Amino acid sequence: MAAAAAITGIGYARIARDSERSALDLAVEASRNAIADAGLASHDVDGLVTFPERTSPPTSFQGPPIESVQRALGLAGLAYWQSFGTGPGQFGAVLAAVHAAAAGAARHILAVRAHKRQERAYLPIRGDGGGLAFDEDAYTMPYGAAGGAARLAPWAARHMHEYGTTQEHLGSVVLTCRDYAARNPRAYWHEPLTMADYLSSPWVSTPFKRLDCDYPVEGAVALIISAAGGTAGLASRPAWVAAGAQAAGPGLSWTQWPDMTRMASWQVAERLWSRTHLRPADVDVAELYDGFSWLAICWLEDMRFVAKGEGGPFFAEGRARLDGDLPVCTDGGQLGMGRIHGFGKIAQAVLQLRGEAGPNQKPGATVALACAGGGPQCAALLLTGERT
Amino acid sequence: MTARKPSAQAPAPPGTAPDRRIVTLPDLTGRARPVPEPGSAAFWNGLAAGRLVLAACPSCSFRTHLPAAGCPSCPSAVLEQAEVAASGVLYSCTVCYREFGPGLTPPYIVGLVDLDEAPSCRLVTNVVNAVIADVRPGMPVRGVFSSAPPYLFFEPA
Repeated sequence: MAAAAAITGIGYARIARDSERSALDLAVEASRNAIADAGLASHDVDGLVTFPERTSPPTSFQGPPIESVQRALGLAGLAYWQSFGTGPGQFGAVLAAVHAAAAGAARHILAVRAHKRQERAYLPIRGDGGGLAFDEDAYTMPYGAAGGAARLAPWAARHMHEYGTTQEHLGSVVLTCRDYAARNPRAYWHEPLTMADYLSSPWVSTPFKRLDCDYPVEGAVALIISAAGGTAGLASRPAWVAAGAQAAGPGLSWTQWPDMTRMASWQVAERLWSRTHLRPADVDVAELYDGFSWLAICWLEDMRFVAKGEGGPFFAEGRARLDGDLPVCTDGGQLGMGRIHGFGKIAQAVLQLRGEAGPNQKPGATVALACAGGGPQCAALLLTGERT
Repeated sequence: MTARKPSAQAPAPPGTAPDRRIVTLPDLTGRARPVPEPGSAAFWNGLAAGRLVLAACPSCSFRTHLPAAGCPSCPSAVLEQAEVAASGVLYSCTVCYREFGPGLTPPYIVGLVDLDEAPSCRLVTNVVNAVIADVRPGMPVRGVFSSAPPYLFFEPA
């Protein structure tokens, strides 16, 4: 079946360690850039999705309220809008926009994720000032395992236990991303990094060192998702959504998961590859999620690019670099470009398909994979330069 | 109980050198306190009494320590209670060198424990009374109860 929707616009806000800008300001810059990139005007945009949903009071994890984005951009006449919660991964909002465009609910849907620094958001926010733990948090928060590195690290530790994945394997993911970042003007990190630097860096939550955690920055990425019928006459070359998939694996819990050496990405792959004639070997670039280094190893394996346990060696042997078998995280990833939380994966995949990825361009890329999430919250989009 | 903090002020060893410090039962002041609810009160009340009490299906083998309402594995609408031994195997773990939650003092060890008598129940805990570097997946562990607030820690068996 021909693709029913395409990514027709991408836009970034400038990435900075301390932007001294509001999340709304970042969202608006990225959104204006995406709308202009597609060759549209604000009045052409009839859909808006944001991630994650804004609560009151807000957490530092969240971007601006959807009402603020709508008003700041002057998006009059929205036919479809929704602010999305935490699952399935960061792409829940984007996949919903793809579905809405394909169903005819809207013609051009803006999806935006703005991200302020949120070091403290890795700490649980819910509860009564940290005093009380409710629901499933009651079983994790008292032990310091409710979120962030401490929640995911046991998955990586089990993978190392079963498959012999090493600290140097994790480090090679970081080095690979830093290598791409050094050639990406948008990226935060441009300094070279050695394995010795990595191995001597401080621990956060074993096996994660500080450099295994994506780098806290402030920025935003916006995307325009257009229905197939709306792509004619646009300024950009569409990146077609050949397939998309999301999965929760055996359940939504981060702890009651039988086999932590694979994530919901395993089920994402089953679904994604059943929805397209394309195969893993057809993929030219894979913008895998790297919120933590080990996530990229697990995504690589779970998407069936290599067998379980071969992800670490794949990075260590340089096969994920630009001249390797499958370039991965070609914008420097979140480990090298900075933590912009998922949407950047799609933007970079689009740039690769347009041939606009600069020094990190994979020559002739026609199929690009974008993945986001981890544990029980995973989603992926397969994009193509030609409509298939 | 006597609250003893491990050598909390000492820095982690550099690089990948093994951390040979011993983690003991920590000071529990300031940790988040579980809020029992009708679907989970038996578990928390059990811990407070030094017993590990699971919700158990009378019709099939389903067990859970988490909030439940009826059996998710079979049509049974009711769950009963079953006490099981607080022993298990460490499925995985992580040594935290910064605090991921209120009241935590690094270093501490987050462990995931599969219970011997209910292997599908995976408890999140802190491993205590252990040399940090010796705590590994696959290690047999046994429970160390705390009554107020109700927590369940584990130590090497």
